[in-house]
Amino acid sequence: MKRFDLLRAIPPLKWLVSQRWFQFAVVVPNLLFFLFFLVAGVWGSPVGNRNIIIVFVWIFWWFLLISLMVPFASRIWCAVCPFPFFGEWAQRRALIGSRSVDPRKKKPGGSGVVVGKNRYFGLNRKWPKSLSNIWIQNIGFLALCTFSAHFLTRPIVSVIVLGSLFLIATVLHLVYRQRAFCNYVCPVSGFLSLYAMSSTLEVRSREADVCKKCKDKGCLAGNEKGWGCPWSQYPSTMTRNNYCGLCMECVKTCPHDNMSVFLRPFFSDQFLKGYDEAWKAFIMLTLAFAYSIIYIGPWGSLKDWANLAESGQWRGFLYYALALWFSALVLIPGIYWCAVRLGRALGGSTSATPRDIFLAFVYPLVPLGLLAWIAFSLPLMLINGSYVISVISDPLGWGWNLFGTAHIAWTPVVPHWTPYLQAPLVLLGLYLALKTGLSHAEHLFQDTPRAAVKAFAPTAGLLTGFAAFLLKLYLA
Amino acid sequence: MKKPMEAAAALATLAACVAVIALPFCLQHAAVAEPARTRVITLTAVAAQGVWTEEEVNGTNYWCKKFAPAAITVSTGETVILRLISADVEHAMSFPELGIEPVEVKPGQVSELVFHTDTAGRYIFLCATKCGHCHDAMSGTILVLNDGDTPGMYPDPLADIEPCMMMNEGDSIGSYAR
Repeated sequence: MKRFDLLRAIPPLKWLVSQRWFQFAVVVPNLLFFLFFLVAGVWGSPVGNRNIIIVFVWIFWWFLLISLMVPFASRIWCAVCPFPFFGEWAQRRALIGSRSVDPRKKKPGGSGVVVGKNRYFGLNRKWPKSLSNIWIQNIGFLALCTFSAHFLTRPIVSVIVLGSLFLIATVLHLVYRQRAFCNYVCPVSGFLSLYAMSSTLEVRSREADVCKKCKDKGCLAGNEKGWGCPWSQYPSTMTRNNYCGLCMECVKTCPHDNMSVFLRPFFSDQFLKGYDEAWKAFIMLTLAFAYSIIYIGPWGSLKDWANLAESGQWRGFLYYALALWFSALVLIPGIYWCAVRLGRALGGSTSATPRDIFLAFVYPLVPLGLLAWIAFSLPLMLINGSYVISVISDPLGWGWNLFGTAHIAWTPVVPHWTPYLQAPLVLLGLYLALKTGLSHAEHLFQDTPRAAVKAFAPTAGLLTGFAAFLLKLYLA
Repeated sequence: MKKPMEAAAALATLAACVAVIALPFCLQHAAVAEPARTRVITLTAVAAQGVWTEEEVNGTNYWCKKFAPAAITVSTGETVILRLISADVEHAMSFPELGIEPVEVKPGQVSELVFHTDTAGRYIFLCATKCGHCHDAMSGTILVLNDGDTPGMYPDPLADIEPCMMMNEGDSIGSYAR
């Protein structure tokens, strides 16, 4: 796979990410914005489009995240996320430096717990192995999205949701090692892990042989230059973006200057490792369908069902919630499993296990799902982006006019073109899904090319059906 | 690890956090000298309850508090500046008896209405834009008194009008959704 070494090509960038203060410098401004948003949510206007927490988080940030940050910069958001700030500070008792332990001492003294060659504080428990997957994130994200109509429009509810995540992150950092919250609990992290596979950016080792001969293992265990990978990854052998938070600790700690940041083609990571990741793909696709139907569809009754607090329709909300959860966890995975099973039967003999085939054929939902989400998010920004401009001048809806833009009226941008912008995105997602799926099929069913096509055909049909459904929603 | 740098970073972070939290309130309450004999009254329109209220309405209490209708009393010879805010939808404030054109009140914006109180009396204000179920109840009075006057001298024509919503203790606006 072709890749371009950014740190070698741009020495100032290498210098920047190698500084201990780099992480602090990029996170603190974000932390201050976050605190300001919480203030706005509590004390500002209850009107969603006049309050910065709604406009900036659920319109602006969401659009930037799914459409630009993830496809082009992997989990760059995790590198600047404010959620773990205070917890990690308490865990490390350091904002900038690192606490390393002299490995020559047989019994390192001092308080705290030694993990690798770093010293941490708090309880530092190991995250339970049975929960070392993204199932908590899957269920958490689905639960949040079930109530999304409430926190997407009501500032105080956004404060409760985001503030709770902030508190949970802080507490978990004091109980468990490193970034257990980010790895296993954060709902945002769940879908970032899946779609980061699409990104053009990666952190990897330059030469595998150098890592094999390395005795320091600073990237994993830490050393005097920095912390061991907070994401509990082994950077030198990392082959996917899923769980790399781009914190650059491994770039700092590597004694051989063998870790770097690379540019690479889209969708270079092409395999799912477990059923938790597969179900994440199902959940995200289902939510793309559901959100497209509820938020930009014409069915007012469905909007009322989702918007329980205003409509008061408990029965409708129950129908909506049950349909959402059943579709995400059972129906769509079940249909998909049937398609894969049929394909296995059609494809003939293969040495691949049913699990490998299933995971390989679920992977196409990554490009399709990501492009579906971009297609859903695009009109959010086009239609509501003008609120971003006005709310900058009056972030709390108190009647300020800081930059003279507070009175700019709501101005949807090319609303009549929206379907024609969404459709190519969905078609691109379908093309990438079919291309990667067929590639996987050819790898798994190597007898003849026809066997691969036969094996993938039912899944391809299903993927095409999904895309057609989205096109029908957007164009009809 | 360099302790002075860590301490500086910690102090700077905490100071910045406190500053960010306090800043909006400092800006909002920045002192502005008012001319003599000027009253500035802030009224917030709450459509769901059909009231204009002098109480603070924010993103937290909007959903759960029953707001008291404004009870405004000023003296003759004063300049009254009404700062009008909407907590939800578009409204318009009108004083038919004072001959003042309706002033639009849009969410997130502060509209101002200025008038002089030359003659004592009780003047009705009302919402001039259909704003919801409780629109017809969105009215009130401003009482203008000479020195020595008592409120009883100017009966309230709206005193017997039922409020649009009688919220029970513990109820929220969502309890009365359709």
